[in-house]
Amino acid sequence: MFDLEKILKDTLEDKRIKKDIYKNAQELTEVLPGKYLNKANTVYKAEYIYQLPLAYGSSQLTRFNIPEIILSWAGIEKAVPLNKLLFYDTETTGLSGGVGTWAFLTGIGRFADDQFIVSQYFMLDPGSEDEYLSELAKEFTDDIIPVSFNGRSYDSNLLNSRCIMNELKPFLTNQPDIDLLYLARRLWRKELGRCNLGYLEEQLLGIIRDPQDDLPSEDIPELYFEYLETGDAGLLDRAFKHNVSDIISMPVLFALIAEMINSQKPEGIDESALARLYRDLGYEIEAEECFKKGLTGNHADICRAQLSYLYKRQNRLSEAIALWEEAAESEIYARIELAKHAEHKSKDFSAALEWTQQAMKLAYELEFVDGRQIFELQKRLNRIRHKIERNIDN
Amino acid sequence: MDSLIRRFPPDERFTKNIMAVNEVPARAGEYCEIPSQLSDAIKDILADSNINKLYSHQGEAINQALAGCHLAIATGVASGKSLCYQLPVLDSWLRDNESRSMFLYPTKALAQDQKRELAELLSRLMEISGKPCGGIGIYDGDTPASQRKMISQRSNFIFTNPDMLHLGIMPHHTRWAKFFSNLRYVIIDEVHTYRGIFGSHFTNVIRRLKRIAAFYGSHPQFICTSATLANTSQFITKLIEEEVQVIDKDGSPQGRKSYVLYNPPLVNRELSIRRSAMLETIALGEYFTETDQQSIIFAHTRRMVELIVSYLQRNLKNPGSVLGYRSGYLAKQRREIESEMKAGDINTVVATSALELGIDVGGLDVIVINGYPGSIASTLQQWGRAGRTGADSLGILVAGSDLIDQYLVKHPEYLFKGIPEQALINPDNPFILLHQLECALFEKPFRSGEGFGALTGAETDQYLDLLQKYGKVHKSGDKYLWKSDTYPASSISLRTTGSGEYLLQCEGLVIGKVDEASAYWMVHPQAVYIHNGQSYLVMELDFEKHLALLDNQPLDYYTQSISRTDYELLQETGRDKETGADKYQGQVRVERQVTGFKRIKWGSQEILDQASLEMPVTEIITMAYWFSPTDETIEKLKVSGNWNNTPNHYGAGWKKLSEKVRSRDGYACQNCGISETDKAFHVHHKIPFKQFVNRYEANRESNLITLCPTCHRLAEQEAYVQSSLAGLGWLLQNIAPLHLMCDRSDISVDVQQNSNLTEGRPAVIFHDTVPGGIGLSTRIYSQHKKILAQALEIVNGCECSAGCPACTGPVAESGEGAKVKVKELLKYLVETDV
Repeated sequence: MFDLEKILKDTLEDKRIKKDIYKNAQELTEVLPGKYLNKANTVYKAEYIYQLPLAYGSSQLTRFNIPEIILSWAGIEKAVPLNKLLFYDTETTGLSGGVGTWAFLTGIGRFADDQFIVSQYFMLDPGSEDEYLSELAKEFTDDIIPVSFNGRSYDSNLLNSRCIMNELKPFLTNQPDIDLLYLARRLWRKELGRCNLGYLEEQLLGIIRDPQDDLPSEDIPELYFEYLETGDAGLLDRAFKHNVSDIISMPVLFALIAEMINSQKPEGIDESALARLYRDLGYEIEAEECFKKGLTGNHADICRAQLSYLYKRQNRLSEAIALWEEAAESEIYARIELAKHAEHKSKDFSAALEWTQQAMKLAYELEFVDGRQIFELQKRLNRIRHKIERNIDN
Repeated sequence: MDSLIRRFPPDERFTKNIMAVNEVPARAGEYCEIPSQLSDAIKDILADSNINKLYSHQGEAINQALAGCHLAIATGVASGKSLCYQLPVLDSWLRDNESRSMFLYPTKALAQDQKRELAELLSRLMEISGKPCGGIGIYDGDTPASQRKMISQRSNFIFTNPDMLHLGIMPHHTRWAKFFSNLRYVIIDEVHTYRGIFGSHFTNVIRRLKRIAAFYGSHPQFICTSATLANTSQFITKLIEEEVQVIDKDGSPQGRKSYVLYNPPLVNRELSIRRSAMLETIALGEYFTETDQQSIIFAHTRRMVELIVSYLQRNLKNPGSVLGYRSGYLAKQRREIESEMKAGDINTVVATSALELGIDVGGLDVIVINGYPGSIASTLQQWGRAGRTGADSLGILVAGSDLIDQYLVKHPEYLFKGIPEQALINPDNPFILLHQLECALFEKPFRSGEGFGALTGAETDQYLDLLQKYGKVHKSGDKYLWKSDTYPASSISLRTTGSGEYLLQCEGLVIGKVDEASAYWMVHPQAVYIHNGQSYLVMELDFEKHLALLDNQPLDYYTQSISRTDYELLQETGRDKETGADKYQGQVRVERQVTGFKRIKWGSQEILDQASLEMPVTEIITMAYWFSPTDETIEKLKVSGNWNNTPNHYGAGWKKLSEKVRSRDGYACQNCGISETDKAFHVHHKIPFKQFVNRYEANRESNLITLCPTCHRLAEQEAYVQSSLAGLGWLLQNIAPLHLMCDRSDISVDVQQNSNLTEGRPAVIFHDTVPGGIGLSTRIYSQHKKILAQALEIVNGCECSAGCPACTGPVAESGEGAKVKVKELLKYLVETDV
């Protein structure tokens, strides 16, 4: 056989770690007080108990009532006691996906009366993954509702995939769950643009994570690999803290959303988003209320537009027209809607022509001149002119 | 002319160019009963289509498949191979509604075509059996993300390609858990395309597939279809690492077939220049179109296809009856062309080899191949398109001017015996294996001693230990686990060993591609790239975009790169004595740098000028074979190297100049030191006179040296040996691909005067250009004598006088009279009693 190393040396990327700099490696028990769960001492659990209410950034962690609309949005039919929510978040060995990625740290959070308890399950050695997953599975009993931030498309798939790899029954299947990322996107995407947890914390919860106690997710895999080589748990200190912060942020964020819905005071957010959520779930009366409130807020324009469409769909045309006329000063959609109404409903073609021309004028004045929109308007214009000519001919 | 070739134009203008004819008599079909074990529903749909018997090979294949054997079906083109796997697959589904099968096709277009066929059968079966089906899914790069989940979870039949299996399916196998748990059949269509690097990777993908399937508790059965190969059984056994039953006795009926090797006439005997193959092809094409014989003309490139089409259309009365066909047509367009051909609306199709793989245009009267397509298998595959049931047909190969083309028309047995290439793979190539093991490890941890495919536990662990040492693997107990946040499959292409390809672009069209290492010497800036008889000037070589920009220009010169190649022996793995030479094989490090190029005039072969280049150094570790003529051989060569070369005309001032040099050198031989006595010593050109652009350059004093007659003779002898070896190198580089049945760029031949592989002795060195090698050098090591005998035969058979591109290379490259010298050298290496 050939000397493989000699041949492949240049092909192999050298990812070796110099072990001699880890003479003062920290024990896991020093960094993360907790207990081993298996004989081989490779599966570990730590627990933190927080008394409620807990001050957290500019917000606080307290108990809250889960609004019916959220349960209904998540496809849960009956009321759920707060203690049955199970918040979870994993730290993994890579973000690129695929079956070669493991979850080595899983945080679990749950309410227990006036406490919030965070448990962290840590896998010291991926060789014991089956035992690790079996321990985790005990948390995910049938009666809990898993709550995550992007767990629906990431953490749950990953954990299930790990179970399959270890010939265990996947434990995150077929139950309704609540994914706060999806909810947050519905509520704040327009206003905030992006909805990753860190940014939401900053914008909504008044939290800026201290770099001393945190690190970017993408740095975590490397540190875990380094830990595997060196056994220095100190390397993972910030990863453990990061995970705890993620777990606590979820109920705080959830509470904020609940409060907002329960009190019908959508402060600091895009009111139209909440109203749209109501509308989409069929709560049209609540939606209308909410849009109306928004007419005096920061997002009045969006609310007016959405409300006008709601009216239009409900065939409350005079109310819709009133809103369009209000908006026609600056909004192209309003001019187009008025043109449509004139053309198709009231058959007032000259008004239709006038509104279309007005819309066209505005389309050219906009910062972004949308060629497709102009093309559509031109078509409309031609059609209306045609109708006018035909009318004259007749 | 043989009266049997009915379809060939009788005109002597054509018949005089026939080099060889092969007549294959008609063959009656052999039939058999429909296998009784097939499900009733299948028998019903066959009966509905009035099929009450099958070709014998189909029956045999189905019986063997139902008996659980792994199969390779290697019958002729259009012999109904698809049915051989479609029926067993459908049968398995009828028996077990949950069963899953995977169909692998080398191209997306083929997958589309075959899916349509299976869907037709399936829908009729669903109707008859009343069983619901999870459907047929195409899973490739074009599959919309929104459909992927459903396809992976529900489809009973997955149509995909090796790249997608490697990149998109295996690394996410948990999403395919149900699929793998129920995997019954894996169909590999056109399996002969998986050779070389692609095949070596592919075998490892199959290893990964089997490993994961086993994890889910299934052990799929493989059915492959293949063109005929010299080593069908051995190749497929090696590829899927299972015992394979080969079914190659074709039971489909065939009409009488004639095959003709056609050589365009010589227009210049001295330089061995022939009339262009393309013009001859067009003339033949016109004849067939005008005599209403349906034909396909195969050409190498799209550009060539377009040229032939436009010539034909210009000359024909009904230009609409000629159609160009290229890859990239949509399925619908292909269907239209197929049906128009069947209806007879189109008489002649001009196509690239895109038409070679499994597209159904029915049988045709005539096939004309313009220039040897590069492999015997391809030639047979293309010829195989001819012949509708019962009728006689004709296949013609119009030879190009390349060495291989010319060799083949003079040695018809290669094509007529129908012994195609061996397909070679080397799945255990360390470079390929390393990367594939990373992928396998990503997909599932390894246990120590587990092994991988045919690899033993110890061999596998050696790689895994190495990965561990370099920090990519975590070892826990006896388990190796992937330890990296990267996704290894995404950085590994099955079609290369890592280094990228360069696309050759002309006027926005890609006309070809070359691998990175070849790009440096083939398409360096200002190189002339010859492609199908057209010359292209390289305007720019973009290292970042991996693009060579070419301009199609008629040029009266070509270029020859000058490079420096260094070999370092890493490990010798064999050596032996041969006639007049010692041969070796082993693992080497090859370092190569293109340092410049020469411009050489066509025809006169005069060197116009020489320029230097700064190109990157390429370095690979690979397998090599080399031989070194013995001292005795060299001696014989020197002795025979008598002074029969035509004297050079050194110019008017030569007498004066030589006097000056001798005076500068003190009238003494600069080699041995003795002084002139009565007769003047010789003045020698250190770099041979003929290698210079002009005589002023050659006659620069720094290139001149005084030598005594004895030393001068020695120096000239060295030059003689050198030029023999150079000519031999050219020849071997050209015939090695034919001999090895590999691509031209897969093997490289060098000649070194003082090689450090042979302790400073001259050597002819072959090396696999694929890092790690795919077994070419090893093969040629064992066939040393055979390839040299073949080389001698070519030199003896060539009609040129002093060497030409079809034998020992252009005169400028190998020197004047190289042909004689190479012949001489080869004699010592081949004939035992010289």
